[in-house]
Amino acid sequence: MRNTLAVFFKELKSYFCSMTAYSVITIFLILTGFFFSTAVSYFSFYSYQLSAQPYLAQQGLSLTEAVITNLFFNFSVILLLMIPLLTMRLIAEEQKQGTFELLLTFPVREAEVILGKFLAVLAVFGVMLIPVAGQLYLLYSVGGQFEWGVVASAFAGIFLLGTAFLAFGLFASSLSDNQLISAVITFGFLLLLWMIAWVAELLPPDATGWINELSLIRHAEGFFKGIVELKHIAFYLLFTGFFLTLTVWRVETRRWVR
Amino acid sequence: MIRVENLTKFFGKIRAVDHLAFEVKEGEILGLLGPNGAGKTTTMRILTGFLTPTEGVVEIAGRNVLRELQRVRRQIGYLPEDVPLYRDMTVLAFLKFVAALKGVRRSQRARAIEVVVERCKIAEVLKRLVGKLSKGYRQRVGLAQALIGSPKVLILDEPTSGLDPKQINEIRELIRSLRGKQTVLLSTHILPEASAVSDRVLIMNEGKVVAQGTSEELGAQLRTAQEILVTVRGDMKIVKPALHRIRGVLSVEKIQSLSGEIDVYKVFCDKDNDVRGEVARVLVDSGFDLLELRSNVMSLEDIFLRLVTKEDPAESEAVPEGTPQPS
Repeated sequence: MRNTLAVFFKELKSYFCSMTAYSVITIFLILTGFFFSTAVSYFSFYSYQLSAQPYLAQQGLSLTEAVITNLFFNFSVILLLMIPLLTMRLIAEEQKQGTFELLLTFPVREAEVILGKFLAVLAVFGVMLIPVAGQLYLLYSVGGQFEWGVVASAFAGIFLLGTAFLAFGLFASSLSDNQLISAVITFGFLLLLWMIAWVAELLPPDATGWINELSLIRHAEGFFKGIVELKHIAFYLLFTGFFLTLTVWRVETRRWVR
Repeated sequence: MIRVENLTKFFGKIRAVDHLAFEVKEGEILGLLGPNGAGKTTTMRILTGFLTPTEGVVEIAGRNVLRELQRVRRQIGYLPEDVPLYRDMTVLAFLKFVAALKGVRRSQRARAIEVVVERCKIAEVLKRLVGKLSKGYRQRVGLAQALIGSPKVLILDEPTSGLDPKQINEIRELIRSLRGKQTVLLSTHILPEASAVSDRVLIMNEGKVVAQGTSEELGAQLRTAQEILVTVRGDMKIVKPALHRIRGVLSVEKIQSLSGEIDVYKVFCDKDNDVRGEVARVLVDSGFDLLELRSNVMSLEDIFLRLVTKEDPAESEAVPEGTPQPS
């Protein structure tokens, strides 16, 4: 644990001492801000139109449904583009600069190093989500009525989705000493697991079950609507655990190179 | 302290290390000498557990590197070739990070860092980014991280490469100061370094040990002939046959003509047969002026070159055409 913490703090400092974290967080903030303001504008527009129809006006529009669900779906698309930029350097850079040789000859286990790096990038991801919470608070402070359970569920969903993305990104970073290649592999694979849900729609219903289960986004959709199911939590945790284990295995087997 | 037995490492079909065997005693400094591609770095990487061998046994402080990797790593300070360091960290942050990973207790970290900072003379750059340091300072920071935690064994891969002569001397001095306190294995392809710093030298070529011992032992083992340089005033046509007639002389070569009839000859003779007295006597008795006579001791450099290029200078250079071949 001591070694994991040492690697965690070192990586965290490395993110915030370079421009990496700041630039990714800034771009994420700009994009989410854009989607947020658009979603709120649409909500205002439709609310205004509905007010002209007495029957519908009585029922009202759900701010949570209209804003949160769509907003978090859009956030997850942005993550697809942003996560590879965060993870690409984690191992590839060390391999390129030769520092992995130094790091892995200290009395540390490969698993401790991988876990430390993963927790650091997870922390950066956590920091990325703080402004999103800020945006929702802003809406709340001007009178927005949220179902806070759905908001919490949406955050849990995006966090689990991001965690899975990060675990795969870390694995992809161990595959090459070229950061760009790592980023391309991460983006390509995650996009594939995203699009696989579209393929499922074209197939006969009895063949779509397992394809849908593979889709990363299908497991998150429920969270964005406020539906928390154990099987979806288990999917993300298993996905994350699988790729973290694969990364440790990949780094350990490097010693056995022939 | 270090025991290597039958060590072999293949990369594909290439045999980088070939049945290597050697030992390093506690407190000893062993120089691993060899040309580029001799297998020095691969050997060191196996010793630190960064690579696993295809075959063979490596023991450090009585522990098997494969079976007790973490425990072995606690005993080792390693400076890889080209000194890879985290460029975006300050020197102090980097040393703190290393101390934490090496298991130095929090309460003792400041003192442990202070010791290596003083030893490696890097106090003035502690707050600077590693990436902004000069090559010399980076090398010292690399050494400092290897020294943190006072490991029993130091493995230094080309610790002076790329440094200027003053920096080289400083690093050598530092390594020499470790003699008796820590066991050091250092690799180099520079001969003066091996002989200046190490107690013992192990010469590697194509993954194998081709010779090992102290500089003197290597010289004695590997000299198949000794050379004598003789400066004589006299007719070469008479001097050469006169020298040839001396028992034990293998060949004679004129290597330089000075003014008048003064020539310098290189006389090769059996390594066990000191013919200097006889050479002097014969030349003086024959009426020549013997102006100088001295042993030309084969340097470690000559020996090294001979071993790694598989050439025998005594045979390739010494025997001029028309001279009788030694039997």
